[in-house]
Amino acid sequence: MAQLEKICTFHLDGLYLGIDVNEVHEVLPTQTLTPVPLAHPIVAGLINMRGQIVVAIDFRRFLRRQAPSVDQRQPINVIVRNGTNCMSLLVDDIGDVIEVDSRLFTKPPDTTATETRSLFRGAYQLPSQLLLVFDTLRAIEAIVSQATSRMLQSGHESNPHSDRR
Amino acid sequence: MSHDQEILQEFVVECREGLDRIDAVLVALEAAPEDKSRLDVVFRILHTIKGNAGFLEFPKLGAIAHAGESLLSKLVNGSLNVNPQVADLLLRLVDVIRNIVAEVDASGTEGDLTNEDLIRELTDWTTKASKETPSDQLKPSIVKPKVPDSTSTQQEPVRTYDADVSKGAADTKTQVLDKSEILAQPVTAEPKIGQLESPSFVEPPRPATNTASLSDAGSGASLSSRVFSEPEQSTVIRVQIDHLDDLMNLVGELVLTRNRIVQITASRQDDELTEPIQRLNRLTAALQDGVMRTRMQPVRNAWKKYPRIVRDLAKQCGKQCEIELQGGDTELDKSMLEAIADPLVHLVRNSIDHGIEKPYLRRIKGKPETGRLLVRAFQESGQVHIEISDDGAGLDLERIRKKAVEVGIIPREKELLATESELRNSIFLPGFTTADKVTSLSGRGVGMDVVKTSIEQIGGTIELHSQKDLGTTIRLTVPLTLAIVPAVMVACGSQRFAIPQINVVEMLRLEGEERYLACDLFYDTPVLKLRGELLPMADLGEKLHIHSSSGISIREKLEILVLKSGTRRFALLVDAIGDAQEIVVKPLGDLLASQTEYSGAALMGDGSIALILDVLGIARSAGLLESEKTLFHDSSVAPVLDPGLEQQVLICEVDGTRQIAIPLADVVCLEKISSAKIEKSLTGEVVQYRGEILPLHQLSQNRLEVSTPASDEQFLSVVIYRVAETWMGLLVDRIIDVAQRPTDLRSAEAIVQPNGPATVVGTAVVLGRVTDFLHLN
Repeated sequence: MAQLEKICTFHLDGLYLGIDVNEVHEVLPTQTLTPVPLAHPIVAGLINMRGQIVVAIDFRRFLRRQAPSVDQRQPINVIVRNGTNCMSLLVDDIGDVIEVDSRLFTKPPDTTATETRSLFRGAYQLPSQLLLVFDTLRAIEAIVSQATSRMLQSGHESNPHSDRR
Repeated sequence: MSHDQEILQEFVVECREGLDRIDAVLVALEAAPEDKSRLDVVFRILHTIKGNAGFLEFPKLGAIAHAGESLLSKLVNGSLNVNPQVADLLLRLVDVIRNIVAEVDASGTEGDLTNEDLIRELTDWTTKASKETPSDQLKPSIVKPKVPDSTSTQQEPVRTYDADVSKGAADTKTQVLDKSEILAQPVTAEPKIGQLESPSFVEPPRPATNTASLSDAGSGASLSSRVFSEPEQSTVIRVQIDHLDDLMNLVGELVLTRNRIVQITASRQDDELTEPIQRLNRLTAALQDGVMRTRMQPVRNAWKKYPRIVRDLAKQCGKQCEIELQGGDTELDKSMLEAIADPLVHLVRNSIDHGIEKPYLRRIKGKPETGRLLVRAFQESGQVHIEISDDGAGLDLERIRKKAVEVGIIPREKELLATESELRNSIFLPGFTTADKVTSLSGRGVGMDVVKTSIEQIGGTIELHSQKDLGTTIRLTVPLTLAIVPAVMVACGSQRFAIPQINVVEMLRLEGEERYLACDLFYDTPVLKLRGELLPMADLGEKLHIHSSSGISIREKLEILVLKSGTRRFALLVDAIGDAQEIVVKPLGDLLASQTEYSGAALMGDGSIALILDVLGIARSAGLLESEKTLFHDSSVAPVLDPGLEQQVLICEVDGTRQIAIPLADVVCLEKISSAKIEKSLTGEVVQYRGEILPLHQLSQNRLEVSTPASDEQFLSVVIYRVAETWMGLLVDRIIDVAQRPTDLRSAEAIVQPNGPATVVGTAVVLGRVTDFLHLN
């Protein structure tokens, strides 16, 4: 019997991506970002989510996609959380919540780079294009570990003006 | 939290409270052994623990509590007197139970330790007591059956025992209590009530009421009446701290919402709104105050264990000391209290170990043999001050001077130039100790710096006053709460930042000529000339990479804050200084945990976010603590191990020409060690370091002849590093710097030196020289 899974979809640099709808805390329209000087470049800034301060992640940069030009930048906040961390993933545009048939699901191909592979649970083969679904908890973990890593940060420090938007 | 966990949590809390009380009682009892009534209390707590342990199926805990209880019964009925050995034994019992409870708290099981020795010792004493008293039989259980028959309700000790035993049986199903089960039959139903009620009682803050909450174990009428006649008992409830935290957050948000409304209506000038808004204002303030107060706890809670600590330590050091606690009612936020608890204990221990002299010395000095330790807390201008004073030897500045030179905190050539305050402050530097030998108490040279750091982390300060032979006073000043702090807002670029007011010494605005008079360069370091003092100065915008350094001359006016963190002061140049505000501190979370420049963030009235600057972190990242580092190590290498060091390496020179790189994460610290201190052992050169034998390795091909005569004494740079849990020393010619590990490391064919201390894993050019990258074996 076909099982249906509800996926919250969004677009990012031409990719069609999704997160299990149960793992999405909420979706917010573009928010004012308060930059955090000296922080890792994937930290886009802080947003005020009804009194809670949430770190917004430059999801494009985290996924090593091209940075958009400045005028395009009206990112949507997809708020996700694990036990301890709450963060906003900045995406280009939000899609619909769709129901997909679990029989259409495939694991990532072996040839995918390990780093990328661990972020995704797999993909749904939809008629028009592939919907890549995140392993949310793992992705959060990877974001936290990257954001707190000192190495890239120091590289960032030594070249402070390259990342100013 | 599941129901089971809740019960377990409840049990752990109850046990801890009980054990704290036993500690206090036993110490008091030792001073006045004839006061038998106190024993009752101990007995009942042990009994409750035993009962609950049985109920929750912790047989080991049950067994040990049972052994203790048996001994206690001998003490209660007078067949054995409290002597120092017994008191010691009981205190050890408390420690063991505490450990088991800690294990229960951590893992939900009681651990693997059986503690048979302790049980045997307890039983030995119990049996001894039985033999000494002819009326008693060998086993306590044989005596008991008489008790219910003898209608001995008037006899306080015996009666209590009866009640307790029955209660223990009522809530216990395991074999631990085989003895009490027999006895319990007459009264099984009633005690349950006492048991059920007990969790809802909170331990009242005042010790006077302690006995009341203890009586939860009792089922007798006299005990129950004692419980309910205590008014405090029923007015206190135990609340999960999370609930209070949530409440606190909500109130914080309410305050912000109020601010917002006030702001909006101020521009509208609607008279109708004015009155309700004023009311809202008042109510919110009252609510905020009220919620804050629920989180406040008397400092006494952190002090409960001091008499015990003092007793044990004094005994261990062969000293006599009494402790006086004043102002235990002074309240401060729970999280604050937790943060200062350990540093305070450390200071108390220090006072006894270093401060108070041995009795004979005190006699020579004409002081009473028993030393005095005074711990005092009081509130003043929104801050809590805690003082720890002793009437001991005071700081021996000459000895500190000697030691400071020896461990390299003060360069030898400056030995005589160090001022008294510099010497006093040097005890706060990492690696410092005046103890000649390492004891289990102190002398490891880690301590005061940790105390200082943890106090500074919560925005507090620490001061030290000392007079030779008169004593030492250490004063901690901490804010009342961490959650809401008064702060000064500053602007930098388009952003606003908050600086906690506790760190702000003064604010300056310099215009025109003043700019040039007050600001100067010390070679290339910007400094502020303030009333004859030179303060290092940093430009916030530049340090945060918000804008590039703008020369002083470009700006028409300069706005400068003089900040302090502990005893260090520095100047911070900002774009504009704004107003002072009360801000609600929100944590930044794990994602920004490595950003030590910020201690949190705050929501402003208009909904925008301001980052809160951590003054210590800013100073550190701006390199303003450099002077302190040099004072310590005679090189610019930071002794502090920051998290995330994996990619940093320590660059050293060996062999006069070779440059090597060692992963900084493996480095414990850098030391200068006198060549005269190097000794030989079978395995090679060693040096005694902080009470351990530290093997020394060399990488040089031309091995240094280390057994130089003492007259030829020279100081060698040693990198102390860690391999697994062992510390090793690596002799190097010179420590050069800390650098990033380059990504383009050319992998060398790993040159394996089977017995050598290190393997070369690659080479790269660092700081203009070819450098071997080492992996320490």
